[in-house]
Amino acid sequence: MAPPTRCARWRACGVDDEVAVVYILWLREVKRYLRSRPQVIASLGQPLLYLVVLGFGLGPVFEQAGRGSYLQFVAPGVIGMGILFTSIFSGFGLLWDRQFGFLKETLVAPVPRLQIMVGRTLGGATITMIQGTIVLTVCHVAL
Amino acid sequence: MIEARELVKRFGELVAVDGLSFAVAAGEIFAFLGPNGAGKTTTIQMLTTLLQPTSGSSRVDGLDPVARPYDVRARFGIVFQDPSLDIELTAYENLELHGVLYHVPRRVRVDRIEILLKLFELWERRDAPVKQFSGGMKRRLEIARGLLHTPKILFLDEPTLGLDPQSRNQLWTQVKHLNDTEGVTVFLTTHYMDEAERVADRIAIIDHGRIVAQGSPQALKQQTGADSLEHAFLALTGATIRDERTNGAADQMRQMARMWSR
Repeated sequence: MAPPTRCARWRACGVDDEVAVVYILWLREVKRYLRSRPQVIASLGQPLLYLVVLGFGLGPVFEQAGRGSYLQFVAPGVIGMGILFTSIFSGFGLLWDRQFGFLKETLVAPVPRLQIMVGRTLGGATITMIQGTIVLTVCHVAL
Repeated sequence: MIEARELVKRFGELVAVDGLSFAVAAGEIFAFLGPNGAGKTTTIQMLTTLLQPTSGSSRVDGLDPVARPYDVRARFGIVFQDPSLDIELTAYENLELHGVLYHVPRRVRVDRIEILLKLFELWERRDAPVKQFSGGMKRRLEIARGLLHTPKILFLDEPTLGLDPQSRNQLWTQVKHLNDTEGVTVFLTTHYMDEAERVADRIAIIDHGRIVAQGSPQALKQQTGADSLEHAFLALTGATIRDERTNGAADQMRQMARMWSR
């Protein structure tokens, strides 16, 4: 009868193994993001559109009607929307994995679903933060 | 090494697997042949902890997939019917990810990846994204990945589907080589009778979720009096064309829900 631990083939399973699983899945998400230029550009397009078109188009009207800079008024909303959009997009990644079959690879692996979920979620959160920071920088430059 | 006792799987009305019993010895290459919809993939899914049997039991390396899914998962490698690589990552990264998921220690992992990539003639292309690979290269990479954690059992679900004769030939040579050198038990399904005849020690022909015949390729031919395995197969399963039952979206969702809840 084989010993009951999950990684008995090599040694006892430790916390570092679990961290490694979360890390490698996180790394995968980040690598995929950094490699897909179209995604980076496309996801920047929407906030830029809001900033440029609304910012410079509606800006003067807003400034005449009320007080303060319109860009300053919309920028937080644009950043917030960008973050929301990227989060949803990285959530869709799960569907892509299902479609392209990679999901099965993680499902037959001897790791709990929770670790898979945590790794992916952290990866998505990181991408979202990068994206949010870029939009924030763009807003800052525009202001 | 693999044992099934009266395995049954029902999807609502449909009985996909209807009381399967068989045993696969250690180091053996065992082929599962059957028409579309005969229950081959369902059986593999039950043995590999992806589906729970409706009734009956199975043992993989002496362990029950239902009771101890993690221990069982660490003991087999699998190549699915459909591709399951991350095509955005490179060949090396795909293997590395697998190694970490299976808790292969770093030193072992590095050596093992190199050995397998060289064996499957992918070492030169290790840093190329998988999306640039041909069908045959992807398949070889998947088999290399399935063997990375030195499993005792390798499941191959129609691994040669859609490959050219050269790739098929090479693939089976390599599988046979690994069976000889590492003693890995191979459980495969295929639609190509010549392949089964060439590599398999023993064959089970299944139809409508039941085993209709099993034995060595020679025994099966003798049993039916056919001159080739293909004729033996047709004699045993009939010549009518089968339509695989396509799962509705709801069925698929339910299956996913089951997979995730494990």
